[in-house]
Amino acid sequence: MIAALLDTEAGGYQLQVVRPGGGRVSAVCSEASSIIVVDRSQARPVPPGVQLLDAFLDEFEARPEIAELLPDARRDLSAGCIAEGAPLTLRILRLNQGMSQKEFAAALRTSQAAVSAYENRSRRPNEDMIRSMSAVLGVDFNTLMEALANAGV
Amino acid sequence: MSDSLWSGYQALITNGAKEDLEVCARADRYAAALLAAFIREVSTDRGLLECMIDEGFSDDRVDSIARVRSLQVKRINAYRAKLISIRNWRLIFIVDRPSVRIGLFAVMPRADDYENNRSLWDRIEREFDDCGFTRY
Repeated sequence: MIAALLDTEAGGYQLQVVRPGGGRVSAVCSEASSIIVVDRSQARPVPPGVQLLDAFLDEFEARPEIAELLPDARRDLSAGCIAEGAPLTLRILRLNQGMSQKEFAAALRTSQAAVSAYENRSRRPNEDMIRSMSAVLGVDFNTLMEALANAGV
Repeated sequence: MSDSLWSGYQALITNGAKEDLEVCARADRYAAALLAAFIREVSTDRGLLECMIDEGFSDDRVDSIARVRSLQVKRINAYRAKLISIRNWRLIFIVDRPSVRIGLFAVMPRADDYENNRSLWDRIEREFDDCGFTRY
């Protein structure tokens, strides 16, 4: 197996892995991966009589009788997607580990916004992040690359 | 390194929907956990959130999205979501496009005849007006 880390014309990096059987796997870390996405949509005032959905879920999920069931619930959501014939995605791998985006981000020592961007393919993880994801998700490199190549919604 | 602004819908939940989830948790704790896990995915994925108000949408998680006729006739832009992994419950979302907000207004058993549930529609209409959503 031959691995090469190349500079790309776009200013990022491309990892090329040539396998003994002739296959080639590429991972690209472009300049786009250093873009910081600021989501201000939740920063606006909340009207009377309602609550931010995320804030409510923080409270609801923290209840011990709900919290203890959430990992299994997420695994069931993942299993449901697979049963429907969905292509393997990073989101499905994460849910299969019983993790929320927030928990996955903490395990990767990155932000939830970054995980969201990886799952929606608006941001490409770099080599170190791919290694971390592989370890946290308990999947091999090829499986993870397949998941990263498949789009979510 | 550069910054970019992501502008999307603000995701909200009404007191009525919160009470619905309490009722669900008392009746079926695991279903409540499934719903919480799914709703969290909706709240953290702007694309999926907008799918909740996209009539005809379906994917590996969502069975179908349809307009709620009983509310649409009142010019309330409401949609019900049937989910694949949570077969016994449905969600009702309402979008207020001028204020760029989407609210989760109800969580209800799928067995209920929701189109003829007068008290539910009264509650939703009251909360819709109270929180300043606008009729289209």
